[in-house]
Amino acid sequence: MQTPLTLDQIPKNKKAFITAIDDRSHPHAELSNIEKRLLEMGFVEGAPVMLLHEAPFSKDPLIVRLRNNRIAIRRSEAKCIQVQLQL
Amino acid sequence: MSTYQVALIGNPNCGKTALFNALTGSRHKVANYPGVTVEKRQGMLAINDTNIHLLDLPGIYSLRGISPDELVARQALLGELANEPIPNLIIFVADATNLALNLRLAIEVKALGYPMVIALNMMDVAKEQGVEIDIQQLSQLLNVPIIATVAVKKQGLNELRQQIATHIEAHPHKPSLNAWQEPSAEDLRQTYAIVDLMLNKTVTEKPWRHHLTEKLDRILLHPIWGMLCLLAILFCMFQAVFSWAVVIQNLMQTGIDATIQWLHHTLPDGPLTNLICDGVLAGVGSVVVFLPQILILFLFILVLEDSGYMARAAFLMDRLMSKIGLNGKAFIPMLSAYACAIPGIMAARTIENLKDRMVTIMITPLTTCSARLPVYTLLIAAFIPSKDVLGFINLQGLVMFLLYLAGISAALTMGFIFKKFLFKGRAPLMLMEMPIYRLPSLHNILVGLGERAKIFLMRAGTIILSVMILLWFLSSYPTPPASWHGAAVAYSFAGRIGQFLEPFFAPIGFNWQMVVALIPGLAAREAAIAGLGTVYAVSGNEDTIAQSLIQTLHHEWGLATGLAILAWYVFAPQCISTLAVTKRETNSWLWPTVMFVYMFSLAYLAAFIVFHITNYFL
Ligand SMILES: Nc1nc2c(ncn2[C@@H]2O[C@H](COP(=O)(O)OP(=O)(O)OP(=O)(O)O)[C@@H](O)[C@H]2O)c(=O)[nH]1
Repeated sequence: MQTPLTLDQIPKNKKAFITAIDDRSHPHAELSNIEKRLLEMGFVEGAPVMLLHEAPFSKDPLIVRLRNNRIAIRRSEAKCIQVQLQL
Repeated sequence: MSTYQVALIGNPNCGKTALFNALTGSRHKVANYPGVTVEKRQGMLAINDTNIHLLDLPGIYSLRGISPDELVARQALLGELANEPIPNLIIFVADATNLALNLRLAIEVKALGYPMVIALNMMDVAKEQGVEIDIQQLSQLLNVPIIATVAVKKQGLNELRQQIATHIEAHPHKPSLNAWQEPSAEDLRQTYAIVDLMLNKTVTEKPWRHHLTEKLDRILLHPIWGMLCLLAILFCMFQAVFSWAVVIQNLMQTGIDATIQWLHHTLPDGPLTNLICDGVLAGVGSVVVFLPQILILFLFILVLEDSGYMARAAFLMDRLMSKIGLNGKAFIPMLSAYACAIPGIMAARTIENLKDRMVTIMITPLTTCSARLPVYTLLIAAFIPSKDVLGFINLQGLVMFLLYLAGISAALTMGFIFKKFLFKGRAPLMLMEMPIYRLPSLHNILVGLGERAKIFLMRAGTIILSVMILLWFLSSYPTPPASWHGAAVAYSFAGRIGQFLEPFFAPIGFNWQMVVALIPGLAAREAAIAGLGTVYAVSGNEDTIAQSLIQTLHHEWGLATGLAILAWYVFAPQCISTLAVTKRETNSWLWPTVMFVYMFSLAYLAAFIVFHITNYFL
């Protein structure tokens, strides 16, 4: 099976929308309750997102656009957000 | 007359405090980044003979109370504090430009059973973005009255007061609450789906971009330019602090010196005159002249905070901070600590993980607070020549910048050590909203500067004044017998204490006068300067009084000693209020003790190294 595209992998400034929030691959999914945290910040299935900036040097964290807002998020958490590019 | 409690609640940075200030006429800090308010605040407002207690709470994303600031809000809403009554009514402040997120939370809060009014804030920004909201229909769908507001322009306040009045009549008693159940991930999704349905019916949005924010971010968050801009901003800040203030400062100093001279000539000779001149004016005056500098520093910090840049700085620093096991958010307390360590330590409440918060608290006092500024300035003026390097950089300003850099490097290094050995733990999350850039509000800045000036002068007038009077007595009495050769101050209590402690400080090049001045420095760092002012004024004869403190120090100390005390002050054990706040925030005596001991050791070590290296090369 093909691995789904996640928020950290899409090219910058391309429109996309969230298809699933899945924190099973995250090392601290249970402890930090990643899925809920992301949902509470507004990352929910169907919401439009776009990758805007990568931090200097390591390209981590990222700034993404979620609806009309900008949110800083690290790659490790962005990996839990599956997306689909808008054609 | 009865009292009625109303609480303001909402997501971070939606304008709760701005609304609170507008309703109550208070002047609490409003700034453009999430997590400004970290504690509960009360204010009063009267509507139709009812006294209303208005409660401002920290912003939250959920009622789970993950970080200590969110916990404050949760406890207030769920009535989890034994002697705190729950509010009668909730004003949910919602950011009209981020409705999905805000209304999701509003529904979670409303399910508790509170009567609620929604203040739909930031309506001006929403209009600018071309968001159109059918408020009436939305209000029906949610079954909550909605008032459109623009907190910073005081729009919609009357309607809001009206709504509160209506509610007081309709619900005069405390509501009976439903038990809160933590929503599951599925519950959260369902609520979003409900909100989406409502918004589809009531909101029309144009595709929108905030051009200013995008343009600025393209530079300020650029992989290369972004870092350079951050450095440049900090660098300018210190240059400005050093060079802009000098003119005003010199004027103030001249004024104070002239007053001292004049008083010496007009008042009859005697202990009282000496107390006023040497104790009060020389001591307190030497601190007060730093007001312009402190205000310039604050001007920079306030502009950074209110423009929206602070959150970007946190983003840029995240990588570096993650290397020491913290996240970029911890950079905000550290930057705030440039003003004063106390709000910096309080700001650490936004950090959710206990261990990370502890590390942040422990290292925050190493960032150079504004009380060190007078000490640095005076010593730099006395020991570093004022010349230009590379033609345009002032050497004194450069040294100042290096001292700040030394502080931040020490903070990062100590953070690494603490995290590695004392507070091991997993890497924290970094999830943070980046607000849009805003032109800083002149009002916010003036209020901020005014508050700061007030605090500074109050400190000078209370703590520093009393410490100075005490120090003056100690360094003037007992008066030496006629047979005593040498300075009278050496015979006094203070002189004896200083000489008793001198052997301990001799290895780092401090003489006993400095030791005497270090002691009031514990009460407030800038008091060390006042202390030097007093000790040297008391010991001086007419000639040296005419000299400025800068010249006196320049003559009395060698270069090695001057540099050693600069190094000492990079790490200097912090003032007592910092230790007290640390005790309160960590709820233990252990951590303030650890803090004092480790900073004292670092200061001693640094001064020792600097003193001996300088001597070796000279
Ligand atoms: N344009 C506009 N700006 C606003 C409005 N209300 C508040 N602001 C600005 O929004 C920013 C955040 O305001 P605050 O009152 O500090 O927000 P808060 O909700 O108390 O924030 P936290 O303490 O982080 O929870 C500040 O820069 C305010 O000047 C508004 O109605 N319109």
